[in-house]
Amino acid sequence: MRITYLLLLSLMSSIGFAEPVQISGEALENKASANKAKAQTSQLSTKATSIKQSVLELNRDLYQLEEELLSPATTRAAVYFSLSYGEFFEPYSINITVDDKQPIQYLYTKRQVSALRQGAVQPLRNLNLGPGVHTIKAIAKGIDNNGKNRELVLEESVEKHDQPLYIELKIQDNKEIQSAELLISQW
Amino acid sequence: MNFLLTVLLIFSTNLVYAQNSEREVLRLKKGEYYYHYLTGDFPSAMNQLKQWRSSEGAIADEADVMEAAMLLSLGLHQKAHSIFIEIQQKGNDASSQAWLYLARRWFELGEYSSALDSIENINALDLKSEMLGEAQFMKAASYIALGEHKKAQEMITNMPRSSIWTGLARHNFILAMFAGNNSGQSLALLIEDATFYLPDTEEGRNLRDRINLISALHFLQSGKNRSAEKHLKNMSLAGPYTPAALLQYGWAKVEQGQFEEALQPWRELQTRFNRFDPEVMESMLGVPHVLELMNANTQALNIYEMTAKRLLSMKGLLLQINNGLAENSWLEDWVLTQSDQNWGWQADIETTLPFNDTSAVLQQLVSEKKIVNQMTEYRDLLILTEYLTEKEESLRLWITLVDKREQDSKTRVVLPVLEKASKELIQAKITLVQMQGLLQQSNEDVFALPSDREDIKINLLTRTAVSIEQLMKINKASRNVAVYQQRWARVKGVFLWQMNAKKASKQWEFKRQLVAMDRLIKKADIQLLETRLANRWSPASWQGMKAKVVTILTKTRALKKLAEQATVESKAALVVDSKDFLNGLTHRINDYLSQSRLSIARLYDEALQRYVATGELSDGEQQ
Repeated sequence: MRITYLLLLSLMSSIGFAEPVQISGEALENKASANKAKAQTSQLSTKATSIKQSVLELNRDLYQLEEELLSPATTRAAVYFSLSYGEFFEPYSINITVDDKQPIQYLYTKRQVSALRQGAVQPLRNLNLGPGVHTIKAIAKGIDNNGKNRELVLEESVEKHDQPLYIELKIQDNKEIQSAELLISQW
Repeated sequence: MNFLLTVLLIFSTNLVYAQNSEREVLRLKKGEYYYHYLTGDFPSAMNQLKQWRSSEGAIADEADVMEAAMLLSLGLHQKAHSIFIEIQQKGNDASSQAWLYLARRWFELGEYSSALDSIENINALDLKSEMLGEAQFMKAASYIALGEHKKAQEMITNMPRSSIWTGLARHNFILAMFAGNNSGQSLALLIEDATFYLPDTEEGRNLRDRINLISALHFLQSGKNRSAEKHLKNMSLAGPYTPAALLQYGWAKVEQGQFEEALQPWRELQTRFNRFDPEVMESMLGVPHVLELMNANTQALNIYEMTAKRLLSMKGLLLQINNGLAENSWLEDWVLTQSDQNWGWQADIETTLPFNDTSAVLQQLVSEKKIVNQMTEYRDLLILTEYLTEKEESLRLWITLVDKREQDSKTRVVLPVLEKASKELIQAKITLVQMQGLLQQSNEDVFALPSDREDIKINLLTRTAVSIEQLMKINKASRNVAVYQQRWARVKGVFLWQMNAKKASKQWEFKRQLVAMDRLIKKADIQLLETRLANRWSPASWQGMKAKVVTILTKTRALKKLAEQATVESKAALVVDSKDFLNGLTHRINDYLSQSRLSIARLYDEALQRYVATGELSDGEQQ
């Protein structure tokens, strides 16, 4: 019995200590490979950063090119949407038609409404319009300051010349009538 | 003189209109940029910025700050840094919000001096309370990081008591006090304040747990076990810090000699949490150690043996995962679970790995910030490669389309159609003039503007008059022509009366029709002009486009190749790091295994010694 215990003890001890010895050997290798990996990671990070930078630059070029391809300056008409204060109206959606065609529809998220309230201007769409007069109809749906559903409607004419046309649809608070109104401006 | 003044007036009005128009368009561009920025669409925001850059003055300065913030958020902090230095050199005129965004990025990067410089430019009145709280937190935390504790303390005193930002600032200040070996009443009060004034939200509760945990660890290290226990007891059992709390609570109890009470939290820890958690592994050895302290050697031996078996099976699993890691799709699975499709630091990254055997082991790895950054970078590169592939395809399609546009434009027969329309329009204008002449004449004409029926009647009267004249020439005695003559004169008189009565209304109707015709002709004229313009503008849709598309396509292809290569390298680096982690975990298990085996050996040895000394074994030992 005693011999069995001693054998067991020596076996346990040899297993118990064998592995830590192995570890210390591996640890040195690991340290070297860790340093190498660290240097590689840093190089890779620089490479990734440079790729990101190039993609951003390429993205700018692509954006301009696509704009030129989709709507050349001569026919380009950009429709924007903005919200001034937004105390009396919170938009849920907007529907726009130009000459009863080219419908633009947009549903707003809280984040987008918050951005609009902070003075951001939403680029709704770039349109292709021929020269001459065009009719724009817009319906903004949302809720007023009492939480009731409301629609703001607008119908106006815009004129397109050979320069890009900028159309801004703006929901503006009118303190006098305690309400909001949908306005249009063009440049 | 008057003429000159008029010309000058017209010229200046046009100039003012043009300037206003330019300003308004710039406002739209600026608003659009903010829209993309605030909704997190940074690549589009960067595109907008390029257009915005051409302008001067305050707008350009603000653009600098925002661009720096965006570059930072996209992980391009070196370029951002250079812009930031330029801003500092030339003074600034940017909004408080822009400075806050920039400060936030600097803070995330650990560039506290730069963060403080940015915060100094913020006007508190311009920011909403939530944003102001964040700015104040960053300021206090930056002071702490830079070792200016007094300034940080003043800052925290002036912050609203129950805001989460104040809680975070207090947390950092407590850590700084621990690091500086501060103790005493002020520290206890600070911890009390920090845990008491927190909002009742998940974030608030987690922060409370964290403050309690760091306090407990500090007190444990300083031997104040009761204080540590008090903080550990205040922690929730379902938070991210629960495993650490349970482990430390157990040790606090052991330190106080309350062995039985130490076992419960560790059992809980082993039942509820991942066995590869370092806390769980430590508790596996802690339980038999406490049993040993309680002199329950046989139970301790059994548990050591069970733990050794458990550790061996864990080690086996680790080796198996490590061997197949390069082929394992855990990284791709993780990328697929991300709901945010944006790249860069602003992307909302989910760090929980999809649930399976591999992720159960590697989840610990994802708690390391460096690895998360690497994984995020790999994901960014994947997204960029996909984006470039998509753009390459789209550019190829554009080339086809531009070719088609050119072909259509060159083969379209427009000029003859326009010429024909122009001639028809001229003819219509001539006809209109003739008709207007006819209307003019109708005032003098007795039988003006006859209808078809009236025209027949006039012809009949004319023919009858000729017949009567002929009869009168023949003049036979048997024929009384005078009766016919009188009758003709009577009919003519009545007809003339009728036509005269209708003349005014006919003239009015005719005039109305001519006005409508004139309107139609003018409209057609405008339409023709617009069509001519449209024809003149149409080459703009293809002229010079192909060369531009081809240039950008070449650039895209080259960049895509680079991105693909970087993606492969990034994955390889991640696999190496994951293997290192698994090796580290294997070593840790080896350590625990060695300790448990040593303890087993020691316990057997002690039993042997007792047998040698007394010649007998206890009941448990005999079994």
